[in-house]
Amino acid sequence: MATATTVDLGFTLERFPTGTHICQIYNDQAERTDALCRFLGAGLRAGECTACYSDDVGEPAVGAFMDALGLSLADASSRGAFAMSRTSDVYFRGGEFDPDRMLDLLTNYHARSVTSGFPNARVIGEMTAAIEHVPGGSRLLEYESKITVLLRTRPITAVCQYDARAFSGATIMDVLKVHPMMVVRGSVVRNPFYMPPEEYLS
Amino acid sequence: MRTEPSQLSAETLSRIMLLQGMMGQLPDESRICSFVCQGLQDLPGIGRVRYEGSPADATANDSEVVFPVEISHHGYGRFIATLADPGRFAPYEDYVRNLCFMVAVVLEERRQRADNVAYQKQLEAKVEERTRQLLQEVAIRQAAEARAVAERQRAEEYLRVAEVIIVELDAEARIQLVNSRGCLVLGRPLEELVGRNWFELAVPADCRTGVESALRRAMDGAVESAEYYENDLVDAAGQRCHIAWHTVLRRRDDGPCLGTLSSGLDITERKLAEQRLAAEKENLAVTLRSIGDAVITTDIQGNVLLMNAVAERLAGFTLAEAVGRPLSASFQIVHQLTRIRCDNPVERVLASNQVVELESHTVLIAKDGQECAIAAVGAPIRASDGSVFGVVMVFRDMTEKYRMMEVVQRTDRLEALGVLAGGIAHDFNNLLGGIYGYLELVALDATDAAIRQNMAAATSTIERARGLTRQLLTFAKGGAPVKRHGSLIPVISENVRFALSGTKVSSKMDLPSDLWNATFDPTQIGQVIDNMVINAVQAMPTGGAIEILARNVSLASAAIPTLAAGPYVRITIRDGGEGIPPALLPRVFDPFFTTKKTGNGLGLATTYSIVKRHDGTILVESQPGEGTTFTVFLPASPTLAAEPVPRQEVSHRGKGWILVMDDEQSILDITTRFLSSLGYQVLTASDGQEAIDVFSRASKSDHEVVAVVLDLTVPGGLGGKEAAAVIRKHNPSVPIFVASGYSQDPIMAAPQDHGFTDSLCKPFSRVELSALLARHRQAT
Repeated sequence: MATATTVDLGFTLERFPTGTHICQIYNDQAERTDALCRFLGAGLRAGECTACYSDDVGEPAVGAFMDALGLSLADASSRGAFAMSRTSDVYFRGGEFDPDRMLDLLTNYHARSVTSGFPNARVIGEMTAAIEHVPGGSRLLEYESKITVLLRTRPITAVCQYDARAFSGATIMDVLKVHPMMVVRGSVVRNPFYMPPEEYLS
Repeated sequence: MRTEPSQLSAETLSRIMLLQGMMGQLPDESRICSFVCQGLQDLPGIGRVRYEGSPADATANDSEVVFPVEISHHGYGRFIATLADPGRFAPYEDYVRNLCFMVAVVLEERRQRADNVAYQKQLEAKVEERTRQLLQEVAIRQAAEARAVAERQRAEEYLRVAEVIIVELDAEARIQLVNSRGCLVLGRPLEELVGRNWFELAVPADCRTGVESALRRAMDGAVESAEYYENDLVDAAGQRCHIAWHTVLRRRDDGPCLGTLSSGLDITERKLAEQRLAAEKENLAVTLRSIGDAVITTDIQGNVLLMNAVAERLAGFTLAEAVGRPLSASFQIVHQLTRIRCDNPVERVLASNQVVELESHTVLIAKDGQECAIAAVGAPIRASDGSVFGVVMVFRDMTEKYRMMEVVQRTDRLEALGVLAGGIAHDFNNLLGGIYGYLELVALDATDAAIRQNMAAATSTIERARGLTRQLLTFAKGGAPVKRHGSLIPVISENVRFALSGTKVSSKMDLPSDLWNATFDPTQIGQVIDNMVINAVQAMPTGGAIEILARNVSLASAAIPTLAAGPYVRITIRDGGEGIPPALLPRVFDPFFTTKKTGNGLGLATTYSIVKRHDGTILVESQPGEGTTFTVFLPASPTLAAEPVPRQEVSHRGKGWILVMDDEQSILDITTRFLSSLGYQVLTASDGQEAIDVFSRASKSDHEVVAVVLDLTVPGGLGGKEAAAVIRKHNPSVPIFVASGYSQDPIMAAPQDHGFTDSLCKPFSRVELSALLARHRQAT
């Protein structure tokens, strides 16, 4: 039996296997930004290929964090080790949410990281409340569940950030059900409400 | 229906624990409750879960289990679970109740935190508000302090740069504050002034008491205020200056006076200027009051600014009445003859910018209608730059001057006429003298009654001719009065009675017994009275009464223009006749002027001449239909001792030799015959030298000369005066008489002053010669 490669998530001491799909429910912007920067910083330090999708956190904030760690965001970008885009530009391209396109995007991302020689790939992205108002937004949980499936073969370590202030409590519970791991008070724990994709999608 | 309890599942418990752990991540009650509801529905045996926030809405049926969300009786609603399999759920019910309690704890903690936050915000807001208020108060206080500092600095700057003295005194008059100007004026540094007594230090001793008293009274409330005051100050060097003070009393509320705050302005220069101006004004006023001319000044609009007392008297307006009004209102002038109003002289001056002289015959009409002739000039008043800012009018009353000029002109005219008439009358008089003498001699020798009657008639006619020539001579040469001191009463009364005898006119005489004596020629003054009475009689052809009054009067200077000040006897003769027309009045004293068919025009002219030569004057007033009044003023001596006027002796006889000198043979002849008839023997000479020789020879012989009669004037020879002087040396006691037709000659009037004993006017009668000898020769 082969041993899975583990990676440093940055915001917790415990290492987790690559391809772990984690959900972070936050209600504090500083907490969220801190987790985002630490996750990316750990990836860059590990020489991984990293990507970030966020409307709220800009490249300057991330760059400053990296500078503090002695990492050059510009250098990482030039090497293809770092890419950052706005959530709305990536998730809602063309004014709609298309889970399949997003899954292809992740597939290609992982392939490119492999061909570029990165040992691993990681991505962190925030989902905004706009998802509830764009066409295809109702397929969010489907998308999240399919990511779990995708990551089995394309082991991208993925963290999905949800702002508890932007979604209802029921939606938050639904989101939890499609993420096997979740961050609770700074720790990554197994999600007892998680429903495997085969069960959820059925 | 409830089934049998199942075994506890760790998975289920972990879900309950996750719900409990996660709900704290959610921001509000709504999200927590919906999150919990959603999570509970995944527990075994539970079909559906709902949350009800309001207990009133809580209605559960038998298949439902209610999980209250409350803590310490503080409820937050409840979860109601519909059980699908009560048996499977039963093991977890307590866990769920515990979870709901934790939900209540979280919500209570949230609420309390929210309350705390709200309270903290409230506190913070209060703190912030109070801080803001404090900051505002501090800012206000700081601003006020800054303003106070700025105002103090500004006040100090004011004090420093002020041109006035600022002095603050306490209730004891000690200096509390004095500014730079005060130090400068007092010549002392601030250190020498503060704390010192103001009055002792700065106020001169000679006015200290008054100034201190005034301020004390104000401080004590005895007087209303000491707001304005002027007094002298003295500096360290003893120099004085005059200060005008404005003072306010410093009080605490309505309490006693704490002191004074005064500002003083050095007005020494202004005071001196005012004094100089006042002196100049006083000088001007004195000058204007002193000068005899009337002065009026006006502004550029012609409104009166000033008029002196003379102007007030002439115009009849006071300065108060005239000032500020146009000149024409108080200075009304017309032409004397045309009565046309004259141009406004001020307008003429302003139009020409030159001195303007009013034309002659200008008459000023006073406020009461009185008129006086004036001479006036107007001149522009110029400022130092030459601009005209007013007009000065100077004028004088010319009435008296014109009257004097008229008198002088008349006198001159009479003098000229007198010279002409006198020359003729003198020669004519000599001729009459001869004729008269011879007729007298013929009459003495005539025995035929018819001859003597004719001779008497002829003599009477010649007497009248003599009277005429004498009158003419008297007028012409004045007939120097042969004055004697005595009472005028007999002369007046006798001549009035004599002149009125045989007329229809009666007299009413008022001659007081205390009438002053006068020095006068009785004959001439008698002639004056005679002339005036005759004139009055002729003015009343149908009869009537005349009033004759005499009074003592003391005339002031210029009371009557031609008379000096002093005592006079005033003789007034008033008739009730027809009066004299005004146009003729100025000519009544002219010689040969008469309105009577029988008059010769010499009466009043002679009267005028006689009075004038007595240093008196005669005035006439007349209104047509109301009669005429002649008034004679004669110099008087305020004594009452009336001396009877000596009356001439009518006859005399004597003996001895009398020397007679005259260049006219007929006079020598007649005089010789007169003297012979009086018992004398006569020696004759034709001039002065011959007379001296004859007298000398006679003195050496037995022909003692007892009297000498010398003609005053001898054409081409030694005259009587010179001859008398020589004869007097030979014989100081012999009577020497001067004879002359020039009775006006001073020697005739005062012969004693020129070596003569007496005088004899030619032609003289035997009686007159007899009277003369009787006065100076003892009768035999």
